Formats: sequence, C-alpha cells, structure tokens
Amino acid sequence: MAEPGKTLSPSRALWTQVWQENPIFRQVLGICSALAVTNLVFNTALMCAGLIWATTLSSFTVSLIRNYIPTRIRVMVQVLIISAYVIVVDIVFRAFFFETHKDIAAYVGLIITNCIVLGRLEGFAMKNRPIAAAADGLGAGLGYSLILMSIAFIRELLGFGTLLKNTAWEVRLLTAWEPGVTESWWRNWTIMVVPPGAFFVLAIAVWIARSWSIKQEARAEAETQSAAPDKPEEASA
Amino acid sequence: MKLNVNSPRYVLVFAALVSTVFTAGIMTLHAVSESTATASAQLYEQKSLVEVFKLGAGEQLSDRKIGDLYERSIRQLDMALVDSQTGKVFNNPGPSAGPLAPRAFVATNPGGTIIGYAVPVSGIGFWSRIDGYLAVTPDFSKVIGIVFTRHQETPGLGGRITEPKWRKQFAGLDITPPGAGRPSVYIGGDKPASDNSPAHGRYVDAITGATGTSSAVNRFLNRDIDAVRRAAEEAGLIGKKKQKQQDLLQSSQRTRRGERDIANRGLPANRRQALNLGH
Repeated sequence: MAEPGKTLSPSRALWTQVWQENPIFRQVLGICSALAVTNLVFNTALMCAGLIWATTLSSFTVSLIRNYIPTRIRVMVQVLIISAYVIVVDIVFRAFFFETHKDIAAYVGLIITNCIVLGRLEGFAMKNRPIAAAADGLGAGLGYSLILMSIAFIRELLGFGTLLKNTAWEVRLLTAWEPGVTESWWRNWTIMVVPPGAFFVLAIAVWIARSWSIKQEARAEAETQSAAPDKPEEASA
Repeated sequence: MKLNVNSPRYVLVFAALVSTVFTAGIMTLHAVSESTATASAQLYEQKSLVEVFKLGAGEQLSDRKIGDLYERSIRQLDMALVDSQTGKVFNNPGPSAGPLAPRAFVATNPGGTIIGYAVPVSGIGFWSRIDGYLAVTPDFSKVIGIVFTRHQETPGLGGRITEPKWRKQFAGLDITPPGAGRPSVYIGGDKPASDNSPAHGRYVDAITGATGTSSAVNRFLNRDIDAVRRAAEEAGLIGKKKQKQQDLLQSSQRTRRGERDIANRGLPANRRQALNLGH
C-alpha cells in the first residue's frame, strides 16, 4: 500500500498496482468477480474493460475534487462516483454487447461494490494528484485484468476446448469426445466451467505469481544490501 | 476565502450538487443510447425467431439479413392465445399490452401460406427462470424448433440447452395429443424401445451431467405444450373452429401489406372485434 502522504509518480503508481501491489494476488481484492465471470475469455475481457474504466475514471474524478469532499460523507461521494461510471459501462454493454450483457449484467453492477475500486479511492485517490490517481486506478485495473485473463484463458480452454467462444473469433483448440458424436482423446473439464474451478486456477495463479515476485524481491534486496552494506535492513512489503 | 468543508450546510449543498451532476450525466447517456439498446434487444429476439422457424437455415446470417427475413416472414399473431384452464397467456396482441406482454408469432412463406407458429414457453429451470420459443407446424402436430432466449443455467452443463446440437433433436418431434395421463414429449429417460412405445417420435436425449435442467425443461415444456394446444383450440387455430378462423386470418393477411406497422402491434380494434366474433 502507498503510505499516506507519500507521493508517487504516475508511472510508478501504475506499475506498483500492476505487479508489486497487484490487487488480486497481493491484496486479494475483487475475488468474487474473479470466480464468477472467468469461464469465457470474451466475457472476462468485457468485465476487465468495465473495471479498468470504472477504477481509472473514478480515481481521477475523486482526486480532482478531493479537497472539496467533506470528510464525513466521503465514502458516499466515492460510491456515487463509482456507480455513475459503472452505470455508464452497463448502458454501453447493453446497447452494444446485448448477448454478453445478459450473462454478465449482474457482475457489472457489482463493480460498484468491488473492493478494488473503493480501496484505490480511499487508499490513493483521496491523497494524490489526479494524473497519478488515474494511473494508480489504471494500474489496479490492469493488474486485475492480467490475472483474470490468465484464469479465463485456462478455464475456457479446459472447460470448453475453445477460446473466445460465442464470438466471431471463436477458435476451437480441443474437440471433446462425445458419446456417438465425436471420437477424441480430449474430455472437457466441467469443473473449469463452474465457479469452483476458478478456486483451483486462481489459487495456482496466485501461487505462481507470488513465488515469482518473492524471488524478484529477494534478489532486489540482496542487490541493495550489497550496494549499501552499512544501511540497516529494510522491511520488505 | 477558506471553505469549511465540514459545515452541515456545505455538506448538504455538496451532496446535492454531486448527485445532480452525475445523475444528469447518466440520464443523458441513457436517453442517447436508448434506441441502440432497444434495437439490440429487438435484433436478438428477431434472431431467435428466425432461428426457431429455421428460416435461412444453413446460411451465415448477418444482422441485416436477419432483419430482412423477419420483416418478410414473421409477425406477431393477431389473435389472443389464452389457455382458460390454467390462465396462461401465450399471446396478447392488445394495443395496451406492454413490451413485456407475452407474444406468439406466425411465420408465412412468400406465397402467404403459414409455415408455423412460435409460442413463448417458460418455466423454472435448475437455477432460475428459463424463457424460450417453441415453433410448431400450423396444425400443432409437430415441433419445428425450439430456442431459449433467457436462462441462468450453469454454462457448459444446463447452459447447453442453447446449443444447436441439443436443440436440433426437437425438430420434427411429435406433439399430437398423447392420450390421457401421458406427456407430449420425453426429455431423458429410456430411449423408446419399439415403434409402439408411447415415447416413439417424442423422445429427446437429456443433457449428460445436467439432469436437473433437462427434467425442468421436460416439466415446463409438457405443461406449456398441453396449454398451448388448448389455447389454440379455443382461438380456433386448430380443431372445430379452425376453418372459420382460417378464412378470417387469410383475409387479414391480404390487407396486411399496407399496414405493416400496425400489424406489428396487432390488428386495429375493428378487425380484432371481427376475429372475436368467431369465438
């Protein structure tokens, strides 16, 4: 988490959110939608686009008026701003992606209560300049999308044998065996289609990403220590 | 001047201002996008109906082609279709009927002969409500096709009710009155062993791993088939009153071309009365 009062440059804020403080595998926020919408790549992509939009613009807006927001009603104002942007997403999806909208409408609405968005507003946008806040929101959205898209890729491939199912770009990579219809060595994994499948994939994704970033941090720490051996040891995030 | 952002008056004014600004923004966007959203919803319904009647089958249909096929061949049925036994309404052509009123459709080929009717079917699935259309031949004896327009079944399991591979089993299914106490169609269970079996010509394979959804569809489809058969008899589409209605329907079709927009919402009041006289 960015400490209060500490200012970050926009690009620094963005990358911190994408990787070091990734909302899914470091902060473990926004898990509910990660479980629910990730069985099809296209639905996930729309959901991610919606979240990136909502978190970037609400961070920017909140930061813009942060000095005018009364402390006592700040969370209400934040939620109002988030809902406004999320309703925009909902309206646009309904107009242009009607069939996908039917599947993900419930989760799009839930972006309003997605902890990532409110978390970034409270944790960063209320204390930083608009551009840095927008970058921070964008980073959080991209960090979320990075993990969700990987999960969706695995779940759709194993669950349906396809990628981008129900769209014009559908690719069938694995044709499943069906009694009396198709002969194949492949069987679709039903568990990947239903939400519990996401638990397994999410857990494995978090495991891989964490062990990788822990190694990276250990290496970075070793370098700083060898460069400045007299400095007292810093606690890692 | 330094603002006291925590004074009650400021808090009230600020809250009102922020609410007004954002609400106005959303209302504007909503108003601007309303027509596109309605068009998308309409196209989706037209696509489902074109599909259920098997129009343009085998072709890759563009949005425009779907609109054309729909305009040319499909329109809402212009008589009420109600089963008085259960009270289920299949078609409400009245001018006061809202956008959510149940609607049944009739498809005709260019010569004007009726290809079939599509009636709304719905019921509780494994998780939530399922809506769809069942298209039947003009004599209500065989299924042309079925389509599900809304459901919340598990994707990949119960959700497979939307897949053409499963739905194509319904084409040609026998739905003539099955005899007392028997269902019209059999979804799942044992395959009919012989031609004499009551399930012969009425059997559809259930979806593996989705017994709940399959039997739910079986339940509401049988209920709706029985109800729509009674409703069609009452409306005179089949059975004793058929001939009289058929004549009226044909004459209303001849005058239809000039009043397409009216026909889409049902017939004008005077003609509807004329149809009601046949009851």
